[in-house]
Amino acid sequence: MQTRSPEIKKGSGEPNPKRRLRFGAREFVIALALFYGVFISFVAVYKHEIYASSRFDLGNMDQAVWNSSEGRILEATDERGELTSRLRNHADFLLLAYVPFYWVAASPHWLLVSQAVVVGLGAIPLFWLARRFLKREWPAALIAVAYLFNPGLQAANLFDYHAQMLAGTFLLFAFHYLLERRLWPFVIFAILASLTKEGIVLIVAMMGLYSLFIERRPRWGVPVFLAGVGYFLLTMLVIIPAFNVGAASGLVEERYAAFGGSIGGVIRTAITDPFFVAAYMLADGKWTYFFQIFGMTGMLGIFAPHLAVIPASEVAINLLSDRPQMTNTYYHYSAPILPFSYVAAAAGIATLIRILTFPRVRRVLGRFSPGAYARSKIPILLAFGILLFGIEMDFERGPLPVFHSPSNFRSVIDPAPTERVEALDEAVSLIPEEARVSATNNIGPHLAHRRHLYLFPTVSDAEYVILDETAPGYDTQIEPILNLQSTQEIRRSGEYEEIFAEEGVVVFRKTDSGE
Amino acid sequence: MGFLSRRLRRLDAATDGFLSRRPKFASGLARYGFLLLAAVAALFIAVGAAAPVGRDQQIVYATDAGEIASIQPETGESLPIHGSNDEGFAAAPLLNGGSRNLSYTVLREGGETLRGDLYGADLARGTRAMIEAARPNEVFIHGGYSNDRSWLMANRYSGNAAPNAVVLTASGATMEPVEAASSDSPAILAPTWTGPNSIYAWRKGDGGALSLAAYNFFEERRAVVYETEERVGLPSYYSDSNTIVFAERPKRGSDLGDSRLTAIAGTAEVEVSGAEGLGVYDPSIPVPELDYAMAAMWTDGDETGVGLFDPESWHFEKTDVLVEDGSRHPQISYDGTYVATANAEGAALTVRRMDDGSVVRRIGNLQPPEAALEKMERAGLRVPKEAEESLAPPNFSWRSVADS
Repeated sequence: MQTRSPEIKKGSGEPNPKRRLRFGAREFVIALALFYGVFISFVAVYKHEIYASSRFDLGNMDQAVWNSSEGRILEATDERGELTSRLRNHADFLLLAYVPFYWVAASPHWLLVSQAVVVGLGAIPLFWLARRFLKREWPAALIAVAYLFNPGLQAANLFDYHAQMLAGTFLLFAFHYLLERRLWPFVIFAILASLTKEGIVLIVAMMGLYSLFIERRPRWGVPVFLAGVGYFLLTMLVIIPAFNVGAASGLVEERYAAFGGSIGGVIRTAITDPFFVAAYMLADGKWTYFFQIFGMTGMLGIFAPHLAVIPASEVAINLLSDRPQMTNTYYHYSAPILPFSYVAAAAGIATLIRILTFPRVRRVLGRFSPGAYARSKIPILLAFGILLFGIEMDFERGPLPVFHSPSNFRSVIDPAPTERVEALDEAVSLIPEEARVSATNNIGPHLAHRRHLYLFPTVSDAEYVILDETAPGYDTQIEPILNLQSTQEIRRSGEYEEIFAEEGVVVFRKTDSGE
Repeated sequence: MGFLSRRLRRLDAATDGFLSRRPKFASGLARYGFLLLAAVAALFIAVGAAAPVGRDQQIVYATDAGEIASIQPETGESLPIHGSNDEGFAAAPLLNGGSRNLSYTVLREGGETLRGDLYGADLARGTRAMIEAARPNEVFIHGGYSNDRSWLMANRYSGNAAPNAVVLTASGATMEPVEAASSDSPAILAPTWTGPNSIYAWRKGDGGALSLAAYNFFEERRAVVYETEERVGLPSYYSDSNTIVFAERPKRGSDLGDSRLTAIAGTAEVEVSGAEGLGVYDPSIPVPELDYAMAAMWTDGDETGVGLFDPESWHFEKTDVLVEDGSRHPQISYDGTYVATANAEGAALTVRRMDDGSVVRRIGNLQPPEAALEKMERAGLRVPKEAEESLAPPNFSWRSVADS
């Protein structure tokens, strides 16, 4: 770790005016990190306010926190319309940290803003780590800023709220303090990361292995590894099963069906048939996932495999899953992995320079072997290249309104007409606070502060049904025909009366005969 | 490599020598060299801006002689896709699954029978293949690839059953009708893609009324969203607002001036603004370059022109492009530069620039939309009159070579 010059001139006791005015690499990173946090917060809140956020996964997170603030810990209405605990599928205890804020003002804005700010702050520990491995200030700063331009990170950041998105930053802080041998800050950030989702703690365990094998510090490495694995087993074998009485977690069952739908099945298959597991992880183009993760840094992470493998547990969890979003960096599943590809790239550049000094390599390269001066410029050139590539990819594939965008983020650039947003606002205002509601995916997040919130076409015992007929889709699967049939069924049944219809936005209220 | 290195060193030395002999030039270059770079950059930008746009836009159309060709409107350069040397009468080229995959039909007459085989062409590779071979007195026509190009859909006509819509895998390996075929099954006309697994189509039952139905052919779901006794046109769908749009006018005693656009978002008919007092008809597929607006014809009785319908706000607006009375089927190129319209008879095509309405090219040998249907009717196939009157798709589509 490099030491920075002190703020006070040695021996003089006077503040150094030049030092105070310095805008160096550190300040550059801090400024960009803060700008990212503010800008993405604004876009995320705007996206929610124009009804482009989703019941899954902003409405359900907001509902779980709101329920917790009312004393019903992590309770939410699930996709089938049943009251359930989030702990049935996920151990994202970090949601409980928002409860005091909801006591002040219950709003999903807390989730969206905190997510953007924390993700942005990730550039700071990333800068520290890159500087540690690269031993250069500005190249490290450019790599840290390039991380903020990763189009996948930005897209995942703007896809509603997931506590897992915060894990990347917490893990970077934890890793930094682990290498700094500062126990308590490491423990605090490791715990924060582990509370974002059940699998994240395995990355902390991997840090333990790093400490054990790379740093040769068993007194840190062994306890960290054991604590990480222990907490993972506790969540997977005790906590989550406790909320799935007599059954396995539905998500594990669904996503890991090829391995018997259980963690035990995955482990058993990995031991008894490792080739099947390897083939499964690389089948159907899944191998491109590695390029998505490491390609943004020019695959330089290859030169630092000891760092690139730190998030290997999460990479495996994603590759073994049936869910295509888990092997797409535009979703939150990759958020804890991406920062380590940048750390590994920084270390990879340092390794590359060392390789160029090897006598045998120099002999092979002959007169093309770079001299000391040229070698000293390689880090800044490569780091600049990574940043430029990030900006270019962001321009081509990023979700920001100022750049080109994939179709699923058009909503931010090309929002619904003002009249429709006003109609949606008016329709939402017609729903009483305590009423049981069935709503389409884009309206759900605006009605999440109630116990019973169904995702249309699930209607169940809803007293009100509120639909945006222009946006029938759920998640990434569009199934408009089912919505059409269900809407017609509501009209036909006579159990509901239409009390609002404007701009394709319809509100139905249960009639007395429907009670 | 050694040679290259020596040449580079010599070049470097020569440059040094050149500059050292001209100190004033060297200092000027050091001081004002950036201006030179800026000038070169400006030159590139100016040349780029001045270069004619739309060079990569082509129209693929069917000729009255039964050929399929593509034509570049600015230069008139034409390339055959299904040429005069090929057997049969080619019709109904459709490019609605992007710019690469074209589907069309080849009608073959033999004795008393007629067959209409369904073809697919990969315009990027320049290949074509028969996707579905028809039996005698069976025709697959008005096909179209899905956006992901993995499916192909077509209308199936025959002599013993009402027309149905069928969905095939792109290779033609499997084929399923969207409605179970039976002797009294309704006629399914003008199917149009709406999503990966779904289509909209007009459905004509015994009563003669038409209903607009949405189908999910994977889950075998069907929902009827609209019913009418009037004369209707081809539907066009925009997914971001879940809106299906079509033209409608009374069956008797009406002309195109009486047409109005009907827009349905989900199950709700929504109000179309901006078209008051105008006859509006023939909405096209959404044009990405124009913020997914649909081109549509308008007429006020005196003038006829091309307008744009925004399927997000359901607002219609006239453009400055005026066309001949009775013109049909406006199709805007992918880059938004040109609009092509057919004349009233469907026998000629005119391409105009969208910005000033000036004519770029006229193509006189267009195959009318109903030409193939008339052949089928003459051969004894069951062709409902609605298919010929108002539900036959135009025989031309735009292709963006850059997107292929």
